[in-house]
Amino acid sequence: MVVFQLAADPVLGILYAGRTMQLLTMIIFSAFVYVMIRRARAGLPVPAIRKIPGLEAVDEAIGRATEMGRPVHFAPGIGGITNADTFAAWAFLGHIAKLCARYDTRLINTNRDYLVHTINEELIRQSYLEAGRPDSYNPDDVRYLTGSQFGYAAGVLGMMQRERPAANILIGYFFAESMLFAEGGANIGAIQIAGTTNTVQLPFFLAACDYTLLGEEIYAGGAYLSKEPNLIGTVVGQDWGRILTFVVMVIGCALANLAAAQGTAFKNYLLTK
Amino acid sequence: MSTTQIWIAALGTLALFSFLWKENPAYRFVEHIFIGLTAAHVVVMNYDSYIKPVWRDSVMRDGKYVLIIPFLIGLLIYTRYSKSINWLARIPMSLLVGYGVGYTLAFNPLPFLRQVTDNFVKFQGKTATITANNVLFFVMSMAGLAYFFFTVSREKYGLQYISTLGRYTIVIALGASYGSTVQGRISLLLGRMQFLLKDWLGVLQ
Amino acid sequence: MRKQLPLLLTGTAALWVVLCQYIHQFNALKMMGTTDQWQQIIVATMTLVGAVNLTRIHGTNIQRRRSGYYNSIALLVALWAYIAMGIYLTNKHVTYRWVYDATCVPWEATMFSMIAFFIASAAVRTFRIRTAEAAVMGLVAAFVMLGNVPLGPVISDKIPQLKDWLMNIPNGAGFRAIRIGIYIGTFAAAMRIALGLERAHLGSGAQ
Repeated sequence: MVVFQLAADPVLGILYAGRTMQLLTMIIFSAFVYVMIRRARAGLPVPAIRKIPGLEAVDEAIGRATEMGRPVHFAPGIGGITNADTFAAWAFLGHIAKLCARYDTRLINTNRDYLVHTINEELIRQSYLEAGRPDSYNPDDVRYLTGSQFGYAAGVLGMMQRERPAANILIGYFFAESMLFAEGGANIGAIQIAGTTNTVQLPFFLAACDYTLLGEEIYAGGAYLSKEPNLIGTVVGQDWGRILTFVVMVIGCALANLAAAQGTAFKNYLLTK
Repeated sequence: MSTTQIWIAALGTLALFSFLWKENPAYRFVEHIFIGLTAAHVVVMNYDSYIKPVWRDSVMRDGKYVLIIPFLIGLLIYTRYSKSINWLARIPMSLLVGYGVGYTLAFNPLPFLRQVTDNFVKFQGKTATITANNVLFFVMSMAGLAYFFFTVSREKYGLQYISTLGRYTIVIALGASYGSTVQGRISLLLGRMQFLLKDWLGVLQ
Repeated sequence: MRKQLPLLLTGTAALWVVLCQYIHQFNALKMMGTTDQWQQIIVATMTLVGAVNLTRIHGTNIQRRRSGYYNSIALLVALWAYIAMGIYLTNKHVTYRWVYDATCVPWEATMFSMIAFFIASAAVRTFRIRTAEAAVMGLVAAFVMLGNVPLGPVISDKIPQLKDWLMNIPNGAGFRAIRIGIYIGTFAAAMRIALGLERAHLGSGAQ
């Protein structure tokens, strides 16, 4: 028989005490996304996503590589299979692989995580298959290098110099190797598009790449590139969440300045209720 | 480190640094050895840290046979090398990705709420400068957040001015981050130079 | 079945973590600790897929005598000999550590330190790009760098103050905006996968 060690009384007899507002946050943000997907599915109008130059440039970069007869390189960073940036990287890779397959352009994908590599391999193979070019798919171009951060960086730098991709697309969670990849690509004259949510690495991408997707922009990338109404709906849901965040911050700030005690209580309520 | 180790480390270091001149056979050779050894290390660490202790101690010694299930789920990945049952490899992958999705949904609300509540800025400071800075911080952070609106037209509500301020706030933030990181990177380089000149060549004392 | 089962498993695993975090009784049973261990075992069991990929690619290089195939031989010897050594001796054995300390540790540090050169060349490139944003970013970076070294106060005692202001106000505000945006974005990204709108991890695109 299991004996429950209850730390605090549950809320409504079921919810873990102290996490109710966190749960509510998750539910509200998920609900925004879900509602917008339903609207898109019902054929209701969905606002367009504003122009994001870094995303516009993806097709152009692949086109340029095709014209030059040189490969496209895609790196998903060093985040693992459970990292949200890797989810974003897959959305990009799906689009890139489809275009490369359609144009019969060579796509080189380098990976640090063996599980991310496994998924990428399947994703790229499937894209070539769907484009009716299974023979153009080269499994040797989807590479696991090593789990070591700088061993991976050494491999990517060497590959760039030897195989000289014309487009270097870096989307995912990057750490210090970001600078090596971005400068390595700049040195071979590749058109470079990069994006990460690691704020410490963003400046290096901004300095060395032609286009940089700042933080959250990579999450909107899949929807933007696919132009699927359902996916665009999720980005609208994101904006609703942003508006709510704005409102909460304005209320919180107003309380902090006009009624300090209530401001502190509101803050504590959000964090500990 | 023994003398032999220092020599191996130093020659490898020189070969890797030689990339700064150009990609060359010495770099290529060390790159390949480096990848081979570190990729092996990943396998060994997984074996030593999880596979061996869990199998030997938890399953065989303590009789926790339920732990055979995750081993079996993990082994399904190797069906990808079979043409007829390779779809089974999707099972462990979908479980792991789902687990990551769950983590994102369940664990991100707290740090998110911390960031939001930290922005409940009290403007009044001890001096007028501090007060001005507090107001500026709030305005800049709100403008920065407004910059990311994807589907709200920038022509409306004066959003273009706010998002331009937001964009510049972000650019300044990234510039400051760039500047503050440089020193750390240079000290890493000095560390490697010290290794070559002191530990290897003995030029520095 | 082949498509629906993985989708169902993705959604179920996601829901499981959410329940473990927010449902009181799940928490009391410490369910999360159990499944975290399961996850680690699953990941570890799959560890050979990376080594197999390296072996296949470099084995083909050797078989076809592609340019630089001898590097592939070196890689495969290093890979499998070191795996064998590690499994036979364990990663704590003195011989295993001897190799690791002579190669992996210093070479990692070397690659890391190479960033210093790349940072410099990237900075030069940024200054060359004559856009207002690049100029602002370059100037801010220069002031912060100067504020961090003894030369800064020698030029002007305002430079360290300016550096502190840049780090505390625009840097703090900008990064907060980016981070809040990232959290908002992760909810949407996770939902797209949980609901099966994005299925890249199952080898297919958006549906």
